[in-house]
Amino acid sequence: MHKDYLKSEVDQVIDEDFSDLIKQLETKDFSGKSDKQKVFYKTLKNINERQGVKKMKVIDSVKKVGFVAASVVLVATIGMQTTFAQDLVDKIITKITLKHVSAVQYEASNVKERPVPETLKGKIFDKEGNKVEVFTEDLKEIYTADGERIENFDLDWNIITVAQAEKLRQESHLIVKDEKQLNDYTCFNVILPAYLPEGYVFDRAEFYKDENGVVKDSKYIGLYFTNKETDRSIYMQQRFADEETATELGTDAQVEKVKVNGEDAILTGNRSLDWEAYGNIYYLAAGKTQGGVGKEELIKIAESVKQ
Amino acid sequence: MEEIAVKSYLDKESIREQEFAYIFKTYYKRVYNTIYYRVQCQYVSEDLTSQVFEKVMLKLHTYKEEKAHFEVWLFVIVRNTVNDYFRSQKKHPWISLEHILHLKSSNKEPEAIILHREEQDKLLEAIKILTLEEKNLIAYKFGAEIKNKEIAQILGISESNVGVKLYRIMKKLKVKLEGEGP
Repeated sequence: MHKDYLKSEVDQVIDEDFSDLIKQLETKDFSGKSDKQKVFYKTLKNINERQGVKKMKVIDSVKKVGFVAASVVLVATIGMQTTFAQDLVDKIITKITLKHVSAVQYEASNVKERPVPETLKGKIFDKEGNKVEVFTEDLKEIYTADGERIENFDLDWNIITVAQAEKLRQESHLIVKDEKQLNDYTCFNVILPAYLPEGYVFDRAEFYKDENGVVKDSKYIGLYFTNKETDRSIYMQQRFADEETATELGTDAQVEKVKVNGEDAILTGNRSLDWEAYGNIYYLAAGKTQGGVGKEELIKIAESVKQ
Repeated sequence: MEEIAVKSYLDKESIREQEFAYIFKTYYKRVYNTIYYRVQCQYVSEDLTSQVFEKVMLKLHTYKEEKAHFEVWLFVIVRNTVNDYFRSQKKHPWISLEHILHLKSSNKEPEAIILHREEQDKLLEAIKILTLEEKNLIAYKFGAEIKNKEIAQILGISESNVGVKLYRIMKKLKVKLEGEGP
């Protein structure tokens, strides 16, 4: 108590005696001139390299949309062994490796919530319109004051709404609705699953545009199968298996080895499946919500992908 | 809209990346400014800032909430990274290749260089006369924006000492600035 009192007194005295100088020091921000985006992507790339984690697979995930400009950097190269790698050893629970795909299950982080940064306070709300003060794991949807759903935030915590993100996504993707045309865009043979759970039908395919805005001999295709009645969807990615499309996934969800047509496959969190066949890599993911497609159905769909 | 279920699942998979983005966005400015007070160079500051966040992410699982406040833990990593940098500079006093490339690539117009120099203001010049410990105190007080109590933990001195020393530093800076003022 006594010390605290003394301390605040000292701070007060300093504030009073040197108010101009304190003000100068408090408002100094050297970071404004720095290249924040470059530092962010460089760091992300280094982290991924150190873990041997390739990120291409999740490029479809929403987060990338927020950081459109430098998404190229996310394609990290694999396998740099460094002294830091040692630190991670005790954190790995399981690792499953296929030819081009592997998955590592890490210990879950013990941080379950984080405070909302000052700049966003009072600007973001939950579904019921309550101010959001902390980010928690359960918080799935965030809205602006006008009730627009928020997809993500950029590096300066600027809000990116779902609508803005969707626009960006459309600019970077080619969408094809006709399933007969799928093979026109890829360098490998796209095979649609012969089996889909009841109610699901092919909805569309998505391709990443190259820097010139065209899609030709793509090594990737994203397929969406939807159930119009339940408004649920299944996502399948197929890619030509090589160094570039190989992935190593880091997750804290459960990672399990299963069989697809007699070959090893990786089941993650009972919701997604990675397997390899015909020189291609396949990834299948179902929604997380209750009543969605479970493990058995995922394997059944996977086994129906046959040449 | 129907993608949402799938997307939220994918989100979960890259939770580490989300965590990184959160920590980076939240602390970038303070980490960068703390480092800048010590090294006073944009390129080195960017490089060391990147190193700090890399270490933070790779060591995050070793952080124990009960042992220290997260910010103290984070700025101890900043302290060590900066110290390591100066130590390696002593051993290898030449400029790194990357540094030279950066300097070249950011070739500025002459005016810009002059303006830039002027912005290397008097205050920063004044800070250069401070001792290492004094520079650290300024960096953590005004760059890291943390409490005296936390500065004390990071620098390994007593909390009341932080206050006393800050007072002395302010006096020193004021004298320097006024002595050279117009």
